[in-house]
Amino acid sequence: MIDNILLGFVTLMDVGMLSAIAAGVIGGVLIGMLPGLSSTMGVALLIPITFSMPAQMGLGMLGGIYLASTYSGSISAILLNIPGTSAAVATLLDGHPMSQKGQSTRAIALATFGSCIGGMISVIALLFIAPPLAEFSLRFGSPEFFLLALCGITVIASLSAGAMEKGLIAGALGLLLSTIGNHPLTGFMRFTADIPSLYDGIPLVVALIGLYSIPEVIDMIVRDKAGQVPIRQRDNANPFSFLPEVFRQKVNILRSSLIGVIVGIIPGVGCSVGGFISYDAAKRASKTPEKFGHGSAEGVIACETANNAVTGGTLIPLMTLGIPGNPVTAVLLGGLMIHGLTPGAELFTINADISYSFILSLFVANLLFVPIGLFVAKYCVKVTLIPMPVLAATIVALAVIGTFSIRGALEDVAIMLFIGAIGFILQLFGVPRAPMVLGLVLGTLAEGELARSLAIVHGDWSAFGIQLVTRPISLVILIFCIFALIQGVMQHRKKSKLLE
Amino acid sequence: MQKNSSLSNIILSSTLLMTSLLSLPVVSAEDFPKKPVAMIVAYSPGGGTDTAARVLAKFVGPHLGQRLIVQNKPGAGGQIGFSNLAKAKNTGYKIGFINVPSIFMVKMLRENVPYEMSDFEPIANIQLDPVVLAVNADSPLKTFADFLAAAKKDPGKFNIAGDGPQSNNQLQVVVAEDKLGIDINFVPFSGSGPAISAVLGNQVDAAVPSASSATNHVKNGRLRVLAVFADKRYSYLPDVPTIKEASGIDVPGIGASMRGIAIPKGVSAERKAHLEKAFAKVMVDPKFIAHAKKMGMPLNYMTAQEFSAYLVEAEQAVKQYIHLLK
Amino acid sequence: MLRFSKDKVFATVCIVIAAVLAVIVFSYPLESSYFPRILVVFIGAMGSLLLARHSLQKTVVKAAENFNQYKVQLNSATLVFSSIAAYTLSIYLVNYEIATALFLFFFMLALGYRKIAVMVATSLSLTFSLYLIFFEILAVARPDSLFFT
Repeated sequence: MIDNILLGFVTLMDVGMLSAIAAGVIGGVLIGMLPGLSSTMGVALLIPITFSMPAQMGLGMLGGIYLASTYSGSISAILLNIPGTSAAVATLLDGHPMSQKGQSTRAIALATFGSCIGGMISVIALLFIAPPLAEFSLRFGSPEFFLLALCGITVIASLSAGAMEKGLIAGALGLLLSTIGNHPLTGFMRFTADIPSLYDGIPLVVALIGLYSIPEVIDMIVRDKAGQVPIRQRDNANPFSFLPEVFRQKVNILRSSLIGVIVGIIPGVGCSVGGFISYDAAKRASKTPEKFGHGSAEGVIACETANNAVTGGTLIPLMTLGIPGNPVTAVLLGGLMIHGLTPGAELFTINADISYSFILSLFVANLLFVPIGLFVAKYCVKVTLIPMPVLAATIVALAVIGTFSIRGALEDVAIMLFIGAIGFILQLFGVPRAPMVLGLVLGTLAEGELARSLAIVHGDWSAFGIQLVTRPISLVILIFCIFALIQGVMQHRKKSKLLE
Repeated sequence: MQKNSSLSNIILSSTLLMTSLLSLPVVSAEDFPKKPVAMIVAYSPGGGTDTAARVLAKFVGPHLGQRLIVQNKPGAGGQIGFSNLAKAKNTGYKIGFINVPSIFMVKMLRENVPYEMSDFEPIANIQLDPVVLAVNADSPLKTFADFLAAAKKDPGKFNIAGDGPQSNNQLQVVVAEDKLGIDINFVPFSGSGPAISAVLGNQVDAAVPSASSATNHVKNGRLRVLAVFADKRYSYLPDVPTIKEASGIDVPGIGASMRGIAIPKGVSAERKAHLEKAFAKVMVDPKFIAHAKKMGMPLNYMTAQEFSAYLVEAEQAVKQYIHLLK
Repeated sequence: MLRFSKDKVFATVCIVIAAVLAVIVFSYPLESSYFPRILVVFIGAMGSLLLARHSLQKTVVKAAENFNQYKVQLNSATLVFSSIAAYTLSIYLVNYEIATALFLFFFMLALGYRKIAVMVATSLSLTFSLYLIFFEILAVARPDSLFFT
């Protein structure tokens, strides 16, 4: 293995190879930053460009896009309150309040270093312990997926601190939106009103654009009319001065990376869930949970570390078993196949030189997005200097073309506006939107896996109940879920007592 | 002498010009295509169909004389893309990558689907990807006979995973149930990939993935394929018997996913002929064949006539079984 | 002057939506709809709880707010939604680049911006950038328009 790593290292040390990775990272940072362009779209649309490249170069470039775009979604989340990718929704919760306090550079620096460390740890896992982790991921069946989704849904409660009913309603609305379209098992159409665009449900990216871009533009106009001038920040801090702050949070970083890698290797979950879960975990473990949602450094670091740790995690079952963990890796699988690389043992023996240079190129990509991201962010911080009408018009134009480009259908703009209306109403009534995103992300998983678990035991609910407690992993998740719930209730009570 | 040579030059060049003009194919008389041709793909970028389409597009370009650009119109299980193709302008500049039997199933399973099969004219079939019956490599089921015995022992209890619901894989399962006289429990998963994972993790007894998605796992020694639902053996899995060889019963392989080229009806005969010729040529292009082999793409060329004959036949067969999926 | 509690209105809206959706979702077969059924009931219950809590607690009455504050928000929302609808329609009718440049210009105008030179420059350069990123680099298929495709 060591000689394979060395061999990969030799392939990597090539100007063409390094510039391919750098191009991928630059492209990825831009794709991630622009609201409306997701990582999946970026990788999918750029695969044809890699056709004519040697395999390791093409893959290095795709890897760079994947990692960099997962990270850079945080930049727009922090500065504009609009997540650039779904992975950054949790980042927004604390990143934007921090930016509003005039600490944009700090927020971006924390997100950047967190992402880099999380990404690195996950690539180390991919390099050294991929096979056992992949075997572990196969033990997850429908009951486990269902419980995981349920566990994720309980995070909604934590996201709605201060407005419990409203948060829960938003979460339930998100889950309800996810049921639009065909039932995952019976194929029965629900809430579609015979509109074919709704048969497959609402695409997540379309929903995110509607939920964040549109209300933010409205809010910009309102703030402008109310004569609120955005704070002209004198934010000339050196991003590297925040490096010690990141390193002080060793436990947080380790925990978040671990959560990220685990979420990554479990097929079907994804970056945004990793961010949410570790945000919740960090809040529970924090000495100052009340700061969460108001610009907590712990929150920003937790979710950014985790969502980039997911990236390496998702590549583990992909490369060892050929099982993609999320939409991006499903597309990456296509990229591997085009270059004639079939995942599995062959990838680490016959094609070892390509595989190891790909994994090593992920290290390079993780390192490269730090200077590139910070460089781009240095100019993006000045976004508050752009006159409001110019910025608002730009965001709307991006929202429309972004929505169009996902399925090549202008009809989807109508769906985007519908979700935009919901987002606006939620904002009007002071209802948090993050629970809704979480509901939307996890709804299909929860509903589908529950139905599938039941189908496997031939519709016998009692047999399903027995399965939940007799399958070892399922039992562990169940206990964890109950424990988290109890702890949450205790914390809630303690807080209310303190208030009295 | 000098004069003579220049004269002969003129004669030579003019005859060359004449012959070259005469030998120009009739199709190019109107010079088609003048601009890039767009190909509608009814599935998302990055998926299996899209990948196949993009590779094909890259190699067919030189034969077509222009670039072939992939246009993704995903949604509603292909309905949006197919409807789009049916309604496209019949100038020959918009062609489509269609999936059989999905294109029939969408039409037959839903109401108000805005296309008829007669809206399309087939150009060529490119791929044939049959459904296979696969079990975990550690499974006690060693042969197709073992599977039949297990399925008959406990009717309705044998769990089989596959892409679904209402997919070509499920169609193949209901056809097999009907022909083999068995009753098994089809559990839909969101794609052949997750269905295979479920078999690898022993969550279900067997799976019915597409042959192309199973091949790699068979080569890694994790999956055992008991039979392929097709008339002929699958080229990348030559040791696997066909369903007829395995069971002695002829189960029609209508669940096999076919990917071919079709155009909206009414394209001029000349342009249609040019398109047919381009795809005929790419299917014998050694560079394309080598690349397809590297990717494990199951090529299966059919001319326009063969493809349309197949479509008519398959439509009848699907019609016969579609009620079982409703 | 109309005074009301924001939370009470939200709770009422939720109850109404839950009721309407309940009628739809309970008409679906049970095996395909138990999940949304539970959610609809949950939303209705949470809405009722919110309404009950705010009606019982006296302290919340302080939170009653002035409707006029929301007028600005509603007007801005109307402007944004109708502009996007008009923009999309013009992409469908005319063509992407022309529609985008026009939209950018007029949207900025509607938002009260008056530096014509900046507006023209922004509209053109932004349209060009979007064209370059989406249609050239990412090779997204262009929207089909009725004219000037």
